[in-house]
Amino acid sequence: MIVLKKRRHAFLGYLFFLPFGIFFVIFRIIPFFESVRMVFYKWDILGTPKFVKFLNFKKMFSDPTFWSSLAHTFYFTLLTVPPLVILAFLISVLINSRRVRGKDFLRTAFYLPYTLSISVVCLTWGMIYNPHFGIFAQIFKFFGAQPINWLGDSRWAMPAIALTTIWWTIGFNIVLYLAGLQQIPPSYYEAAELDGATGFQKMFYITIPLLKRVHALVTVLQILASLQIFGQVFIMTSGGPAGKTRVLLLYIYEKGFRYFKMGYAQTMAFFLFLTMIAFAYLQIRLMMGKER
Amino acid sequence: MRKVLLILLISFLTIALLTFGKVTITIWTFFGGGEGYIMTNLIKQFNQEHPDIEVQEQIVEWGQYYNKLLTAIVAGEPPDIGVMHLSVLPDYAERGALTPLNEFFPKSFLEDFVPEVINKAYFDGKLYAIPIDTHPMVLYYNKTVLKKAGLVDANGNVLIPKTWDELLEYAKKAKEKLGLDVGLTFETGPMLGERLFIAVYTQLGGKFYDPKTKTIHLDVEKAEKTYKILKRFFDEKVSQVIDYATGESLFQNDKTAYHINGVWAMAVYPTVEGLDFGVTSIPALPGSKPYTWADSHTWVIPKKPKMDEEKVKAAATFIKWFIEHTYEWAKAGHLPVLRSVLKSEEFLNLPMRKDYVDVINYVVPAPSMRGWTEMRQKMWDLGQAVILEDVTPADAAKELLSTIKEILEE
Repeated sequence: MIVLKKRRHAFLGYLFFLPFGIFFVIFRIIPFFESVRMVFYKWDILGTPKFVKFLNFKKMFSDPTFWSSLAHTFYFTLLTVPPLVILAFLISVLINSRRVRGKDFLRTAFYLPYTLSISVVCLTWGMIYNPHFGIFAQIFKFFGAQPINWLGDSRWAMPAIALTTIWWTIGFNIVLYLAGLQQIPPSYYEAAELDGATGFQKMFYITIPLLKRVHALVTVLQILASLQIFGQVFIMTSGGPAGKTRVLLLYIYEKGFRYFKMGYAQTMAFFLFLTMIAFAYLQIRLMMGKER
Repeated sequence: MRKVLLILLISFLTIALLTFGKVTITIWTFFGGGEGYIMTNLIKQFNQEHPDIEVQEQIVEWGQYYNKLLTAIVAGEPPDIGVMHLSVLPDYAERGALTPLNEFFPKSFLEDFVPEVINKAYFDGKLYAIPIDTHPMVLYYNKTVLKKAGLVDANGNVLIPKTWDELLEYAKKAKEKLGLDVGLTFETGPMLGERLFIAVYTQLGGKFYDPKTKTIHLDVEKAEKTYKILKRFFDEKVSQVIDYATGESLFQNDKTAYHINGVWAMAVYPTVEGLDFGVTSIPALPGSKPYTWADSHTWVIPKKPKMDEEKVKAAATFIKWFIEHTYEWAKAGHLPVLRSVLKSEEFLNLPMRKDYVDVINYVVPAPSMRGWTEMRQKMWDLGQAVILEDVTPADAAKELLSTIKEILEE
């Protein structure tokens, strides 16, 4: 009887999974294999694909714009991951601390930007960065300085996009950290205080270590998200000025959807995919290493 | 009760019959601002005059238009009519994405078109597009600013620069005298890297695009000189890196003396309150004609896996009607491509048209060739790189040549 029940349970389980499963296979699994297959073809979207073996790889590795796009992507990741992890952690600790009032308000305030759509965020920040009419420009002028053309300056365009991204998405990480912080039993802190621990020591010996899983999660998610950046660059600079903010995903988009070079675009996308897997794997090994 | 039901039934059937007899076609456009209104109103007018056809307009953002069109064609769901620049026509016609139009438009219909323009609507002997305008790049000048800066001649008329040196000189004076941020604004992406480049390069005597062989010849020396000439405006701080909207805004708010833009801005500028301005051809190098860049808008009928004959006929009807209303469309600022309209009193009496109708004689064809989409993106990048001093004019010219070679080899 018990065996039959278990079988029936299992059967029901699969049945519930089936609708989603079908969609998943059709729209995720199959296209994934198709796109990997496309890597070995030359395809201009409107015609029939032509088998070219490893030509796309050769082209890619000798394409200076590919390498610069990759570099820009890494640069962006470097600019955004540390703040989005460390700052999120610090802010959540602050919000969570006993001495702070209005926790709900603060949590909502920091999370609110995350609920905005990317177009709204990017267009608004685009206006803020405007060197003639923007807020920063007005502040510069007030102090008698020459406003910086943030999005039109080779040096500042990427950091400007990074700042917008940090403002926009930090709320999500803060919420993750808050959830983790609230899992730490207050008795640990009380015990530490009895032993005379300072705030600093509490942070380093209790808070940070106990949040190991959250650190790993936030960092991995953040790295993966940053490597895939597209929207902000697309809306705010279109890869400019002079291609200085062209990130890999934007280049893939241009090559595939604008210049009719789908096979080549697929190759770069596949490369990005492998890069992301590598990062995620390394990350988890590094941060969760000890626990294993 | 029965009467009510009967009335409802009859009205339902009537509506059903009316919509049943109607052919609905979709049209995609990328016109915004002032010209957007003119287009939408024209479409509305067509719908009113043709109860058996309904044209539904979908306005797509300019920057995304071709991506979306391409995706739609691949998905088999393109619009029945789409707008398309003449310069990208080959990329689509060559790949079989468009419907040939020869059978819908007889020779007599095509005779009135400006030959240079209509000839580019053919590919491989077949007609793929019907041009509706030509829109060259021109120079706008702000009379308020120029008068305030004292840049007027003996008769009190504002100084209109005829050469690039004069433009630089006047713009600089206006900027310094009035403490402005800039003296001349123009968008530093396509306007600089592609359009101004082609214009100045041609003025230097270079032949950028050869319509016979459909390829691009680049004289590296002339290209380098072109970049140098354009870079001077930035070296002397008369111009700055700027986006399209800001460039226009500064001009409309009297914060700059000169502004380079396409004639499409004429759909808006005459309506801006308090803007006292004029328009003329862009400056020329001494000894050269004021060659300038221009492209043309056209209507195309994208290919579907299964073409609906009724819809294609309705589309052709709309296109024919639209051409008959070329004058209306010309109110958007563009130059019409029908010779009869170009010469007409009606057209020439539109605001300031007389000041730039001549420009059509100095228009340099935007390259109509495969790979142009990618090539011009590279030119936009290079233009910015030059003024940001990431690359010297000499290196930029060399890079442009190698990019052209690469793309043509594909």
